[in-house]
Amino acid sequence: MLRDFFIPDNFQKPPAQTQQQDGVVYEPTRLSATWLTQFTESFVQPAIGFEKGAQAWQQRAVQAWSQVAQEWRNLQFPEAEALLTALAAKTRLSRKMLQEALRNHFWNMQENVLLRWLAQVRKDRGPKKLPLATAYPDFVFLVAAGNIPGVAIHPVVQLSLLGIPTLVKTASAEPLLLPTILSSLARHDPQIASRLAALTWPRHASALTEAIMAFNPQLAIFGDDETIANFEDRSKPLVGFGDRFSLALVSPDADEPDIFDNLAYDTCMFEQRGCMSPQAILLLTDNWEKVEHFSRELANAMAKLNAQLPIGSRTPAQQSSIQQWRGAYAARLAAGEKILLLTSPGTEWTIVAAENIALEERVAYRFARLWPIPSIDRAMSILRRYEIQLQALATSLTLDETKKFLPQFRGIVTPFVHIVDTFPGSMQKPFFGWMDQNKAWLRLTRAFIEW
Amino acid sequence: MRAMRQINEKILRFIQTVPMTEFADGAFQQLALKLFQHQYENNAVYRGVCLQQNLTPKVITAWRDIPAVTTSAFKEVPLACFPVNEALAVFHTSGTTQKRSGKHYFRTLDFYHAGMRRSFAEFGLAPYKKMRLLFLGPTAEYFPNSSLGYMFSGWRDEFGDEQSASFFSPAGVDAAALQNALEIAIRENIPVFILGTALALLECMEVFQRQKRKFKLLCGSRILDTGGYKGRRVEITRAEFRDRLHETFGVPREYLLNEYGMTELSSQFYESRLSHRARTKQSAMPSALCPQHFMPPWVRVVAVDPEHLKILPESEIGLLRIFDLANVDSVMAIQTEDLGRAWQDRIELTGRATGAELRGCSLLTEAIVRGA
Repeated sequence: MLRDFFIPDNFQKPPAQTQQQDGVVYEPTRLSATWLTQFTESFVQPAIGFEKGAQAWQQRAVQAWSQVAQEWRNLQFPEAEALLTALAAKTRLSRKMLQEALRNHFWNMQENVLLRWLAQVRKDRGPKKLPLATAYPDFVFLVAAGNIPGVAIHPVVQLSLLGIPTLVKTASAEPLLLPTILSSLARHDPQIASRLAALTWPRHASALTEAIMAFNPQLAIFGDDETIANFEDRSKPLVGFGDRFSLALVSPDADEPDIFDNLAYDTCMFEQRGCMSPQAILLLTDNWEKVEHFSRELANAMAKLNAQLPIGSRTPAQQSSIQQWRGAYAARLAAGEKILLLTSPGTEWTIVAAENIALEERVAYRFARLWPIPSIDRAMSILRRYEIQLQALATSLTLDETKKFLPQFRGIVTPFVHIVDTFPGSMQKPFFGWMDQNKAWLRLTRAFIEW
Repeated sequence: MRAMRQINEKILRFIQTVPMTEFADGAFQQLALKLFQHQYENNAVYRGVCLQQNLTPKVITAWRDIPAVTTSAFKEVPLACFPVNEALAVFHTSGTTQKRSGKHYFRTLDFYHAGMRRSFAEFGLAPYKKMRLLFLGPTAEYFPNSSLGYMFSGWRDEFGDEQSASFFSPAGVDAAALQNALEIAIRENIPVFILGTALALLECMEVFQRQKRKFKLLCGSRILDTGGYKGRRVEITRAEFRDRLHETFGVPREYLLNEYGMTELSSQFYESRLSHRARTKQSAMPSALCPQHFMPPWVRVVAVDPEHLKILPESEIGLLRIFDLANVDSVMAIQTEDLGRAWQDRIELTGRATGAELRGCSLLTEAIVRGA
């Protein structure tokens, strides 16, 4: 049975009642501040980190998580069918998309990858503790956004490897995935799972949030800037993953035969709702014919992918947003701007090539925006302008372009380490340590007072 | 030029004289097709949009088929039948960090003025020739680029008594001054008409609530809100909002009115149970849960399927496409992002697409799933 909570076996469970929704039997919980306080009192405990006995914990955790990952990659866990049905209903993503999403979340969570990550953390902290190193927090409260299912998986696994007691507040729109993953973990190793919990409650139930905040947790917030701002006044420094977006920088002359399929995949996965989704593809050319050719090829790839990874169901409001974005570009085209607008017959996908793209206005739902730029210098000026908001950059350039681009890009990446450097086709399959690009997250997982 | 003057005169006369219950296609159709021809010829951007769809005056024979521009287009390009530097007025849509503000250019405000004047007088908004109008929303003095500000100021000048006043400025709402004005009106046995944005009304009600202050406005008093309370950190439902208005000001629920409009239009819709009763001569009111907004007879609305933008049969839910004859010098046919049903003389709003849902990792899940 699916549950919208995961509480380890050694704790008293919250009151819950079996229900049937979307054809799936599940057990939603009814939380109270009193129960949350009692639970948290016994849940909070010193983290394992790199203290005595840590090695045994880490080995067990690595093994348990890699076993979970293998099961989930192959959809070989008991609740798979029910979960996919429930997620499809809750998220409106297609089952094929959800299957792909689960594979992507777990694709490189193998034993060696997890061990390598732990080794990196140990190395970052130094052979003996550096003067700035401190103890890991005894309690992390992680608030997960629900824009894409499973956004909190990698962070939770990292905290679990370090043995930090972590309570995840999942998004009420999608509360089932993480508890189910944690149930899988508990089947493999209940002790590793005993330091993790997942619950959900609505944003306005502030008494429940305050019950947790009374324990002065380390906060990790995946949410919009407003959500982060709401928590920012609290005592400990906050780890925030807020409003971010991603870009691709692509040369039409690069030798990459799968470029169109890869860009279509990056644009379509999660319906372009994630921070790793490309909001625009910077196309390195001043030749409009190349832009047109590239756009048409991408349109073919989008149409093809639409059959392989169907959209699920769109709401009228989502369809309306697409029509409004299309209408805006159609008007600009009518006003004489150089614009190419290619669309599916319905709202399935859209491709716009335009000489000017306003990245302040976000798009989604398979809306690819091609932005021709004449030079690497111009690309750099765009990247510099948006560097604070940039989550990931996928590049595909010729060798000469790469030689020119990389030194300049590293120049901005070093002081702003949060930009994930990746490739078309990989944007939606982030590597296990992608959050390490976030300075505050790095500070949390390395347990440094300052950086 | 002469043709343009002719069509302008005909439309202005239509707005001024058409019976408010006249929704037959005849005269409206004629004027709409002429206006389409005029806009196609004189608004180059609009002509471009029409040509993208191969829709020209030669092939359009019914007002329903006149091509529409999206409200988003107003944020991108000037949509005017005249050089925009000759505009008498420019009304701006409200922008957010995500969405730029749009501009609606007016060569003349005669049509806008004629429409708002008739609506006020004939939608049953106010029962007296002159009334005490108290504004909790923009007025033209402080907000010259606000269409709502123009409308409020116009109503104040034409229908307000000498004590009519605004309690809203760039500094915010002045609840203390409003309280004073309400107490004077109660003392003097004068009914008042409070008009404002829902957000400003909420701000005031919160101040009054903190002071544990309630009013019992005189019989005949009424309140008109123009919406716009969504997006507050704590949202309330429409029913809760109306309850609060009723409890705070002591105005009967049937005198709580709502306006639906947008900067891209020159005409407005009113959820006025009073006008509904007057029009249909029925005692049955639209349900508070599904409020219906009535349009003036120089406006028509269809709902279109959001997937393909095809016109839906009457009363099916879709995106509202509005045809406003008073939009003489811009574009008459506007594709909104509002969801609802449309009938010959009224609409029922059922929702609105929110851009706020599109914020990468920061996306509010609830907005995506429910938002939709």
